Amino acid sequence: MRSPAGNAIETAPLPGCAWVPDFDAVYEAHLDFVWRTVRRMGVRPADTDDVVQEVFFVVHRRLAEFEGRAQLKTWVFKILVHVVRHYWRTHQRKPGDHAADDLAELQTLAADHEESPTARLERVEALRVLDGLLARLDEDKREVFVLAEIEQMTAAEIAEIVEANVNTVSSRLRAARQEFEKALLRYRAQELRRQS
Amino acid sequence: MNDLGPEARSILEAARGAEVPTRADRQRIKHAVLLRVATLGAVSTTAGGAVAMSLATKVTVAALTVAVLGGGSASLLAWKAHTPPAPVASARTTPRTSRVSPARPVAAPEAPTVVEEPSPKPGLPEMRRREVARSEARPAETVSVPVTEVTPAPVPALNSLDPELAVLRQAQEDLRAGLPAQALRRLAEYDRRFGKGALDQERRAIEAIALCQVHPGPAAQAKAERFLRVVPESPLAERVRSACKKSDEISKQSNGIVPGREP
Repeated sequence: MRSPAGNAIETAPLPGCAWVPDFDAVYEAHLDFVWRTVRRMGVRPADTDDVVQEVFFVVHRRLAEFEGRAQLKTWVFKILVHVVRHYWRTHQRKPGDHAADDLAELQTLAADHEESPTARLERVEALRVLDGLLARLDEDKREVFVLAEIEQMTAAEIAEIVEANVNTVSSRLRAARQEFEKALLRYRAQELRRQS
Repeated sequence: MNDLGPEARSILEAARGAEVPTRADRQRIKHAVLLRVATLGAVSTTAGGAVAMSLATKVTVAALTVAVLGGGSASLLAWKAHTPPAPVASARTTPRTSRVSPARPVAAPEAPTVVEEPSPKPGLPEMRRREVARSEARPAETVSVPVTEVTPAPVPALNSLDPELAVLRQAQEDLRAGLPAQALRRLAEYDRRFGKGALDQERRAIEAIALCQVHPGPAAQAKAERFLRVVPESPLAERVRSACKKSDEISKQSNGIVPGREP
């Protein structure tokens, strides 16, 4: 089924038409962002497979219940957030605690990308810095920040996903940006001291 | 401070799309997900809860093992104890067929409540600005999949396991019916069709149990010992051990040796 915009996956069912998204298509379309978000949410690389699996396992089980009233991506993200929150609880560590351990495990970075070694190193460095900075945010702020600034979701979408109202989301995002900037300044200052 | 500076934006920009799963990751994860789905279909209601608790692929395979052999919930629970519990799939599992069908209603009462239809409320100004800019500058952000990909397609990972699973299930049924020789014939069929298949470990467990029932003696014991040596942590280890211990006792009794009184 194709929507007027040509977006097959996001298409809402026609009245009276029992349309259910195909799991394969959902998987292929959403794996990258699920994987990326799971990583940015502070799940350590060694656990990434398990957490991503869990997300898609739930997606598979609940796919028939998806009625197409919301964007599929939002729906998948909501499942992702639940799974990641559970991960944090069961691991009893705050997201990002593993960041320092994980720096050497960015080898999956852009594995399929055709880019120069220099560009790849720059990306690795950016991710290393990013994970270090994200680790300084608490869970609520980190969720909102990742969804807004990396996945570029709207406040309304994030509010739906994290089950908070839009004002709360905006407030968290504002605070997260401030903390992120401060953390970046501290990081740069440390770098400068180290170099001098 | 409502917005990020250029350096922060640069870092975030670099992160977008930078870390992606490899082709191998994609296949491995999908296979694991579909295997779990298949496991739910294969597993009985007694073992299903335990199966659904698993997170890792290895546990899924173990669960599948138990599903195939049946009645192994206790050993699976023991196995599960070493694995972090899954957040959402933890309770009752209704029997299902193992065929993956996205259109089939899937009961997941314990899964996170997912409410559709976000209610758009006015956001703060910066969020609104970003929404507008995004809609213009990033049309590809929303998921776009060709219609051909959306039409129901075969799921090779799961489908490739179905035939193996079916044969092993039949073999298990034979064992339950007290027909170990018939179970061994099924395993011969399994070998002929799949060679060293994906469920070879499970196949060897069934073989050891069947041999210990039909031909108790050194050969059966050797099979069982080999299985236990190779995969001592298998959730089936206890079943194999138990089945072959009985056969060993029977074998010794038939040879006039009283268990526990050997020289």
